[in-house]
Amino acid sequence: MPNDIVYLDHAATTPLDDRVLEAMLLHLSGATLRGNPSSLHAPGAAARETVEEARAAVARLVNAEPGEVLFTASGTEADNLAVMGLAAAQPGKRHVVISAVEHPAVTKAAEHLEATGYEVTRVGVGSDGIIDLSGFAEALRPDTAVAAVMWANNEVGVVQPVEELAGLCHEAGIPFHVDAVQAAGRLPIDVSRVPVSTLALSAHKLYGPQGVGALYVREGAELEPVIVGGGQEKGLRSGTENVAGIAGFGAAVRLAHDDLEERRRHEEALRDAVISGATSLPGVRLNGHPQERLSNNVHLSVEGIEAESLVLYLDALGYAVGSGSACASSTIGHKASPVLLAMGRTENEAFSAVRISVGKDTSEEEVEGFLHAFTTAVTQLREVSTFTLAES
Amino acid sequence: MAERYNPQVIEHLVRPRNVGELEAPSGLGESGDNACGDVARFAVAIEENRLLEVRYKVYGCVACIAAGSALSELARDRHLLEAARVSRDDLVDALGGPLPEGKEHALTLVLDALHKAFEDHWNKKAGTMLVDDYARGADNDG
Repeated sequence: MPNDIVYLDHAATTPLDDRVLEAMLLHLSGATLRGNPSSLHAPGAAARETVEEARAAVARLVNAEPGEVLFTASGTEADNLAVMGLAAAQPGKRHVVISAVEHPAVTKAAEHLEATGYEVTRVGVGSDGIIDLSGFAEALRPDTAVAAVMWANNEVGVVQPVEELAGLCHEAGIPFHVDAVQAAGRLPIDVSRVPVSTLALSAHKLYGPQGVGALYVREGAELEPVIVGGGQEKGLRSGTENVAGIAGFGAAVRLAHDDLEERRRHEEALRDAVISGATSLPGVRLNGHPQERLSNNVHLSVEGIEAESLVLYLDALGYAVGSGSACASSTIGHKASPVLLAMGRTENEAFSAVRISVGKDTSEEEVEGFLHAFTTAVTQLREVSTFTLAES
Repeated sequence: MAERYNPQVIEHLVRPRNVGELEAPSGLGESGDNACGDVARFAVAIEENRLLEVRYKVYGCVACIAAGSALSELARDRHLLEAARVSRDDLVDALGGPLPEGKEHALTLVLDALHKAFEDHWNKKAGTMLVDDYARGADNDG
């Protein structure tokens, strides 16, 4: 990333930590003989040891046993495997429950099941983005094969009451999947206290490499594979392991585990400074619950301006922020974020939404500079806009 | 087809030309739909068939803001016929090449708004001419 850019899009991806890169280089350098972790010889055994060390580190981050963690090629793959795999393991049950604000990795997996004859219930959220708990409880049925709700939302950063949701599913005997891709490394996750069946993680959201994910699968949870082949990862995710990526994931989660509280305090202070500075401008509104949100997430609707213009204006001024979610902004067309619509926002509010996500290395000076740039960009773009700001 | 915006587009976004409104415009034109998306509004000042001033405003994506800015530059201080002949291709050239896929609507949006401003001017002018003719006819009757 160019050094003159202040990066405030950590919810999309985080920069690779130098210590993570170092751990990965050991497995990428030509100087190291690279074995296949499934091979019996010494280079194979060394690769296996690396994978197992990383597995133990990932398990420690969520307080699980190493044997309950399997590696995938992304958070999306982990979500797909959980939703489709849990459903497939219970062929007699043809009903799925998800929240209305899930990441596409879950919503599309549910749609895929829907297309093959499953019934899908989408539980709504309040205007603050938090799931309707009683609606969720009512949606659970004896024929529900799987329920899935994310720990924290990728767009608005709202943290869901997963402990209660998991409890409801546990009581009803329904497998419960949680997408914790945004939450991991920012919130303490303890699967010994929260009875989830599966939980998805991704390395690149916590200063690890892109292209590596993990799925926690509780001992005894029944899951069918989505990718079949050589039987790696207990047959649940075939394919030779991405050893360098997994080594990086391991290094990243060790750091995330050790620095969790420090990172959280640092990010929260910066997040609150952004929220208070940005919302002091007229017609700028925070989306999502003001307290029950990730330590690094600020999500704003800016009246009178389309997000794309604001994002590229800020980019020209040297600040990288997200428009809605990165996945949505790269798809062609004019489609409002389903998350914001589910929260009762208008289409115009959804089109004007930007996400500013700070990181562990963001400085106070960078946030000050950002607020100055944000004010300039909003003021200048409103000069061009036909939109008249409502009197407040 | 470009995947990202050309630097010329970003230059027009950050430093848009001829933004605003006119106090006593000869014509006003608006295109698009406030309810569901992009809107462009052009105001023109015309004297002796010359486009002396043009001002625009846009609610919309980067392509719309930049296309409005580029069009205002291409049309300003030109004879009405030349200004009306500014084409989609001229705009694409001014913006450094094709817009990203799905953004071409911006060209139509701003051209429509400018043409409607011309139409508004001509409509007003036609009305004035009729009144003048009528007045002249009444004088002859007397």
